[in-house]
Amino acid sequence: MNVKGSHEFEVSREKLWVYLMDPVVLAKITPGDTKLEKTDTDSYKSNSDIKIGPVKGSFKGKLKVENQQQPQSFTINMEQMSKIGNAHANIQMTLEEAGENRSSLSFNGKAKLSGVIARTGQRVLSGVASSITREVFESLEKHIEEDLQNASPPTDASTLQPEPTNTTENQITKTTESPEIQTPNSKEEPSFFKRIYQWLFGNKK
Amino acid sequence: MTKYIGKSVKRLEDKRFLTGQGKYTDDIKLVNMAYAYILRSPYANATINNIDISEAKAQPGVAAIYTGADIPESIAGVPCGWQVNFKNGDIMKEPPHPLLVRKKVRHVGDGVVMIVADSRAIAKDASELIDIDYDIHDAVTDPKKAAEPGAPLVHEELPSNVCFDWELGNPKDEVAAALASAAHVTELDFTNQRVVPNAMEPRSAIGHYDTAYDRYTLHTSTQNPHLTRLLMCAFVLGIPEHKVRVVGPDVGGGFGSKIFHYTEEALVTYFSKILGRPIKWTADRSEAFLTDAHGRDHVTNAKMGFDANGKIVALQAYTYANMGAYLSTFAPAVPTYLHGTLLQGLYTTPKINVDVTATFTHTNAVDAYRGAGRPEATYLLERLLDLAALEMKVDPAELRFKNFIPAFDGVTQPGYQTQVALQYDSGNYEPVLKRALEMVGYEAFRQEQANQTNGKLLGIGFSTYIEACGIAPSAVVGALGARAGLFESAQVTVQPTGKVSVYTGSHSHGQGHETTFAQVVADKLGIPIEDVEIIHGDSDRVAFGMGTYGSRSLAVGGSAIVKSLEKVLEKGAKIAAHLLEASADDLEYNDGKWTVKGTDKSVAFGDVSLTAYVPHNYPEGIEPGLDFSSFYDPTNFTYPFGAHIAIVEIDKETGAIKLKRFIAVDDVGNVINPMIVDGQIHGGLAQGIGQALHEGAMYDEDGQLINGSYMDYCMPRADDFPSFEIDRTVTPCPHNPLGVKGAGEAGTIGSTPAVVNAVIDALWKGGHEVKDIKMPMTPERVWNAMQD
Repeated sequence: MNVKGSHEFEVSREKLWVYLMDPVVLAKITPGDTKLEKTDTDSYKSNSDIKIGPVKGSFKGKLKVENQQQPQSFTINMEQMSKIGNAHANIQMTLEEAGENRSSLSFNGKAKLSGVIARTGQRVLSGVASSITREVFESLEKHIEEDLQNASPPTDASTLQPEPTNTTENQITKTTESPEIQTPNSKEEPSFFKRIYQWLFGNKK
Repeated sequence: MTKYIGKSVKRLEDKRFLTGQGKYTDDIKLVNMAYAYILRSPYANATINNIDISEAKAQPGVAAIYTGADIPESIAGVPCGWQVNFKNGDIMKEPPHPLLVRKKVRHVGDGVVMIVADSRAIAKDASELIDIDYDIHDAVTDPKKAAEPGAPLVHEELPSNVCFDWELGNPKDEVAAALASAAHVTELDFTNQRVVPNAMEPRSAIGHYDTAYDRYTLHTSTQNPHLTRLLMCAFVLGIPEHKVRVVGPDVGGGFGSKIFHYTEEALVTYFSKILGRPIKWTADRSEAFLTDAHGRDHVTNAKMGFDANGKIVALQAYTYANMGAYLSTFAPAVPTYLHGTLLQGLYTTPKINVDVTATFTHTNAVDAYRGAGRPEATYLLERLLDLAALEMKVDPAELRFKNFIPAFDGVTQPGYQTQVALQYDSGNYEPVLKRALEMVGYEAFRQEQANQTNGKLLGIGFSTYIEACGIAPSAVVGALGARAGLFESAQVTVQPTGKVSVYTGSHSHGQGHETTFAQVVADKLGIPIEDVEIIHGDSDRVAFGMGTYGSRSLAVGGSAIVKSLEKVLEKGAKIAAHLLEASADDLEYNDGKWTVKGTDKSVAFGDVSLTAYVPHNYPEGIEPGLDFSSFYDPTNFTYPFGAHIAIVEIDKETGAIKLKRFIAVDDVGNVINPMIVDGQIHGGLAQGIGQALHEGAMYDEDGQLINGSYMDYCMPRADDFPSFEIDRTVTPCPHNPLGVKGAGEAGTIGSTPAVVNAVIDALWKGGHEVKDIKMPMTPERVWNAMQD
């Protein structure tokens, strides 16, 4: 399954880079992740529960940020294993200047699915992939917006690995894990697979 | 004397099936039985670095966990039963198909670990605790791409993915010359897509080793228990054949997929002795999708040439056939001797050449699926003919009448020798198409089509097919590479009271043998059908058998029964003659009794059978008992044929196809039970039309089967079909005693191209002159074809 797309942000390329290297943000833009645990400088362990149609499972995985060419590009290498199947993804992220205080992020890569998730419902996955990534970008955009409003943004672009802002013992959790109980004010996006589930079957539980 | 033959006797077996009392393999529970779950590869091509079973093994209720390392090197794997040679004479590439892989997985679903536990749930849960470290490699799934240089190798020890190349018919240059001089040549590239058999009952097997008798029993959902025993004993496990009993109890459909000897059968048998407990394995639906041998998957280029009068002058076909990752039991025979040999069709084509390249790919094995090769041959011919008719602007029915082989009965006239090795037994092809046209109301339909005003596109498609059934004369198939004979056996045991037990080597898994065979026996012996029992599917009860596939049961198995019945009657006549104090030559047998011709002196069948077992007053030199075995080896294949016509309507806005009518006129020789034949035709049509409109196994480029569930794989449903309009002509088979040809596959073989042709016809009528729509013909594909 090919994944490809791009999005522009109201922030300089250097600042965008810092956001993207922030594990909190990373947790947000990585589909399906609910928990991230830092294992090495650029490596994380992830845990997430997903449900798609009749299939549900618990994914454990590894996520690695590689080939960092600050501030223009890096690669996300992801491996998600579960008893209902595995997902391997290798995604090239490219950051480009797009005018003053504007930058664009484009990504291009492949996601390979195997096991039950590959043979049950995969045909709909590629179809919704683009809308999913759009939502991911929109939530990143929102995050940047709010961040810029609420606090001073990270200014020191040389701080490549800022300490996570809301971690407990290196564990990073999405601010909202259960979209169905979220408050009306919260605009946090539901997880990747939840969105597919809702897209496929409506909002019924 | 035909009280039963030719009558629609209700199926005797249906009482137990309809009341839920059928006994399938998974229904069988043995004392102390353990349950196996097989952990399969999630990848199409990967190297196994490490398998960690420690956590799973420690789970309560887990009895044992086996990997490839637990199987001795001497057990290489399951064998292939048919050898095809390369054009240069080299033997086909035949890499081993291990019971559990050791180092490398070659398709999604390849068995890696077998977990045995006190319940299936425990085994499956434990499997989730097994950690396998894989290195993943690129995969190839397309049979043509697999043959290209640089394609990822399925078997690294082989020079390429080519299993064999093969050619049949007239020399290529002669065919090329005929095509060059043709007034019109129709060329078509197409894929006959891969389909999943989808038997209602998933495969299941129970292995049981009995220490007291040093004997194994394997219960398995098979179409041929004896062949499974032979293959497993002699070629896999090296166990003496007489120390193994194989039982194929009630089996819920096979469609070819249960002919083959599968790894799981050998696994449960082998490890039942090591574990000291019976082991049951039953596939879930997902495993069935991944591991039941699939069907079709041919990529073909074909050219058919016509002279100015519309006579076919030549046919050249190139096909790439997908074998999957391993050779299944009969896989090499399907694209060759069951496909290339049928390319004469019903036509007098003087020059034919067929060239087949079979390749390994990182996919599940492909083997015989209802029709096996013959649907692919029919699809090739019939698509070309209807397309040629459109291109040449001639009537497709007329084009066929012009090219039909003239009628021959195979008795006073010889059989028809084709350009592709076979000799047809008997045929009369015009009447089936004439009858079908009559049923359609052809002229009226063409008018309706021309005057259509409802904004839809009407189309009609034809298919006039032939198939080779009654498989098969042993010497012939032996010469063609079969590693087995294809005769059948039957034992008729007349009990002292005149009740009859018939032990047949055929195997019924939905076909209704228990009824059809009983009709034959009851009529031949002139006894009530209730007095006959048909026993099948157990190697301890039936001496030998070759099983059921290739529409062979009645033509071959039924003929073996008739041979034994003749022996019973011949001996019975001698005993009757003694009792009647007459000469056996003066007796006639009618309505269950021997009568001295011209008198009212007679003795009943039951009196003779009782005398045979209580031989107090008995002819000299004759053995007691009334019990005969026979083996019947046919002298030729049988050649059923027919004409199928589909009428479709396409919605221009959506591309949706409505199958409005389907007409099938089949000639399957003599018919024993019309209701059962109708049912076979109906089921076959559903599968053939299903391939045209709904079904298709899709592998992505990584070798993942992406529609391996009923959410994703479209099976046809009752409301997808109109009420089928069927009829028959009867051209008896000249070379078997019942004159039957076989009806199990006809519906599947003829129907697929008729539907596709109808869609193409509709599109041409709408001004879209497309050559092909990929099957399954989804609305999306049809809609796209209309956007040119």
